[in-house]
Amino acid sequence: MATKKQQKADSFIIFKLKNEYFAINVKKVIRILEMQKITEVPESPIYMKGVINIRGDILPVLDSRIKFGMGEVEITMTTCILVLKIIGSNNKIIKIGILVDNVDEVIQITEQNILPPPNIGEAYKSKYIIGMYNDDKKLIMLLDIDKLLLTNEIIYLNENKSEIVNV
Amino acid sequence: MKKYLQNFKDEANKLLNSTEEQLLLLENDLINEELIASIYRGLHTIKGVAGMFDFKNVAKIAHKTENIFIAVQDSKIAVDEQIISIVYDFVDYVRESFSEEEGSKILQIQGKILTDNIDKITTIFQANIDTENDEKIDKTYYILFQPDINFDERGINLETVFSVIESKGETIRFEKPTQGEKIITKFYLFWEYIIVTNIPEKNIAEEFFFEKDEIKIVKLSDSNILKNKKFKKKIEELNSSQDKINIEELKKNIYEYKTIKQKDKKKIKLHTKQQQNETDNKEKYDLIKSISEYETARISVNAKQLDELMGFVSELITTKEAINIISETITNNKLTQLAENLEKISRNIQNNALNMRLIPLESIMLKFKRLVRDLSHKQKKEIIFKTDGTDTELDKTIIDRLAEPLMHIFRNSIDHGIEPPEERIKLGKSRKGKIKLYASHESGNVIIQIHDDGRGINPELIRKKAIEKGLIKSDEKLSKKEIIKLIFTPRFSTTNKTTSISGRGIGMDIIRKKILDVRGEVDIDSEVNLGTYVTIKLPLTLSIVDTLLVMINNNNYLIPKHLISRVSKISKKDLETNNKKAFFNANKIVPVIKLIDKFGEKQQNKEMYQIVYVLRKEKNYALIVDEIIGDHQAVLKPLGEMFSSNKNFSGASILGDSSIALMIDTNKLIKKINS
Repeated sequence: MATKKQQKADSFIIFKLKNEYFAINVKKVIRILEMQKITEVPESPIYMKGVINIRGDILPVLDSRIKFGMGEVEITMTTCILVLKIIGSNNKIIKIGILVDNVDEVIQITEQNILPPPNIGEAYKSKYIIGMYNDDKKLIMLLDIDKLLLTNEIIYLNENKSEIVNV
Repeated sequence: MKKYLQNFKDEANKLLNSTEEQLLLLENDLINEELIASIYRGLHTIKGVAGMFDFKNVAKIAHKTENIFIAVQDSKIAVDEQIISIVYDFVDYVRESFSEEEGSKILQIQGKILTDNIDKITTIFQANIDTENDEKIDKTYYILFQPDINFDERGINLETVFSVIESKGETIRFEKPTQGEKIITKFYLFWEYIIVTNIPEKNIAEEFFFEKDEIKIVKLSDSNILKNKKFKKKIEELNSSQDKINIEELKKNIYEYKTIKQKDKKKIKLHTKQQQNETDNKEKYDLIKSISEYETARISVNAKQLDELMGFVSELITTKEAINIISETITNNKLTQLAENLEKISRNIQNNALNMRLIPLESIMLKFKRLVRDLSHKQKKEIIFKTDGTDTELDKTIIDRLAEPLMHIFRNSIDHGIEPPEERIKLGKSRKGKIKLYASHESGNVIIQIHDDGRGINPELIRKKAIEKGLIKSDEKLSKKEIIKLIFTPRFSTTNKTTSISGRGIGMDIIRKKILDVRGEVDIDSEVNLGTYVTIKLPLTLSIVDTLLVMINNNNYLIPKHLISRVSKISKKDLETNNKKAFFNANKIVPVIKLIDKFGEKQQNKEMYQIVYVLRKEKNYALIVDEIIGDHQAVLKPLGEMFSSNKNFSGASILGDSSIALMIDTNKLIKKINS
C-alpha cells in the first residue's frame, strides 16, 4: 500500500507572494532565473512586465502578484523569475516567466493529502485552483497555472484564500 | 521505413507536379508525342513506387491510367479532353491518397468513380488490346543487379529492392560476392535473379527503375522455363558457383527447351522481337534515368532544418555583435582583426543561409495554372494564363504565405474580370481572355504584378457601393485611384452573388492583410474594359530586417528602414509650442506621433528630440524619439502569444550587448492612433 501512495505523489514547487504560499507542479517549471533587467513592452496589460533575453530567445515575463490581485512584486534580493511552460490555445507550448517574491522549496504532495478547492466565494476563482495542501505551518494553494495565465483577467486569488483561512 | 515513405511522398509529389505541368502543355498540343511519352513514364513510375509502399489502390488506378497511355502511344486512341480530365483526376486522387488514410470512405468513392471513368475509355480500345493479350503470358528473364560501391550510403533499403523484384513474379535469387577488379568500383555483393513474370516485354525494363549501369536484364525465354525440371536443375547447379552466370551458356540450354515448348504453345508470336530486346531495353534505361535523375547538384533539405540553421545564424550574428562591442572597448590589434574576420565570415554564412531559403516563385505557379484552367472550364470562359519572371526567388516563408492572397487575386480575375467569350467578341476583344503574372526585382524588393484584360473595375459602382455601405460620404471627393482602393476595405464587395469561387466580400481585404503580414504592400489599378492590375511589393526575406535603432525613454526600439522616408531633429521648445500635433511640410500635413509620451516614462530636461518620418499609405508621419543610435540588422523574434493583444510591436531583436529592442509596427501603430 505504501508504495502505491508514493506513486501518486507529485512534486510541487512552493513560492511566496506577499505572505501567501502557492504551489505549481514542477513538471511545469523549466528553470528558475535570478532577477534581471526586464525590457518593458509599452501599452501591454499591466500584469505583463515585459520581455527578457533568455539564451537568445525572447521570454515574456508576468508579474504574478498583479495577475493574482495582490499588488505588485517588489524587487528584493529574493525576487526571482520562474520559467514555466504552459499549454496555450491549439495545444501550443508557451514559455513564460513569472515574477515571484521568493521560491521556498520543492515538496512531495500525495494525492490523498490534497484538499478539494474551496467552493466558497465566486465559482470562477476556484476553477483556477487544483486544491489546497496543509503543511505544518502553512496553507498552500495548488494552482492550475495554465488556466490562470491564459485568461486576460486579473484573478483576485487571495480574497478567496482569506475566506478559506477564516473558515 | 517511415523515412523512406516521406522520401517517396516527396518524390511522388515532384512527379505529380511535373505530370500536371505536362498535362497543361498537352492540352494545347494534343498530339505531342514527347509529352505523351513523358506523362506515360510519370504514371508508370508512380505506379511502381506506389506499389512498393503498399498504396494498392493508387497502384491499381495508375495501372489503368497507364493502359490508356499505352493505347495512345500505340495510336489506338487519340488524346482528348476526357483523357486529360481523367489524368487530372488521377493526379488529385494520388495527392489525396498520400495526405489521407488510404482506406478513407471518400477516397474509396473517388477511386471508384475514377476507375469507372477510366474503364469507359478503356472499352473503346479494349478490343485491340485483347488481340495482343498473348503479351500477358509468362516469360523468363535473367536480372543482374550489381550496385555501385557506395550503394549502402545512398540509403536504399536492399529488402525493398528485393521485394520490388520479387513482387513481379516467380523468382530465384543468387547472392554472390564481387570478385576481381570490379571490387574497386562495385558493392561487395551482387545479385542475380531468374524471374518468371507476365509483364509485357516492352515494359520489363521500366519495372525495375534502378541506375542503368547497376542492373542488367536479359530475356531468357518467351515462356516459363522454371517449370522445366531440367532447367531448374541447371539453375541449381549454377547456384553452387560463386561466378556470374554465363548467360550465353544458359541460353543454349534454354533453346532446347524452348523449341519443344513452342510446339506446345501456339501463343508465342513475337519471335523476332526478342532479339531486339537488349538494345530496346537500353534505350528505355536512358529514358528512365532521365526522369529519375533530378539535378544531382541539388539536394533537398527538410525545411525545419533550414529554420534551425537560421536560428543558429541569428545566434551567431548576435554573438558577433557582442564581440564587436568588446573589440571596440579593448584596443587590441589582434582582437580587432579577429572581430573583422568574424564579421566577414558571419555575413557570408548569413547570406548563404538566406539564399538557401530562397525558392523560385515558379514553385507555386503550377497550382495557379491548374486553378485558372479548372475555374475557366467551370465557368465556360476561355483564358490564356502567362507567366514571366517566375524564376525570381523569394524566402520560402513568404512564398508559403503568398499562395493564399495570390489565389484570391486569380479568382477575382476569373470570376469578375474576364468576360465570357461571346461578351468579349461583342466588345471587340479577342475571344480568349488573358491573365498575366510578371515578377521582377526592384531595389531589394520583389514586385509581382498580375494583369487581366477583363472588365476592369468601374469606379462609379465602387463609389455607389461605398456610399451605400457608409464607407464614404456621398459628397466626398476622391480620385479614381482612391475609389478603386476602397475595395481593400473589410467586407467590401461589388457582387451580390456569392459563388463557391469568390464574391464573399472578404477577398480583397484578405489579400491586403495577408500581404501586409509578410511585410509587403499591395496596390491596385484598373481601367474599365481594359482590365485590372494588381501590384504586390514584397521583401526578399522575413527573418532579417534592416532597421534603425532608436532610443525612447532609455529603452531601445527598432523602426524598419524600408518605411523611413527621412530623419531630422526638433528642439523641445518647437515641439511644445501650441502642443504641436502636426507639421506642415511642402503644403502637406504631417501628423506628429510623440513616442516619447507614449512609450515609458518621459525623460525630463531634454533639449533636442529626433524625428523619424515614416510612410504609411503614401502619407508621412513624424515619430518623435529621444535619440537615433544607428543601423541595426535585426533578427526578428516574435513576442509570443502573451503579447498578442499588443499591436504596437511586430517582434523583438537582441542587440549586441544582449539587451532587447522592440520592433515598432509603424503601420499598426499609426492605424490605431488614427482610429
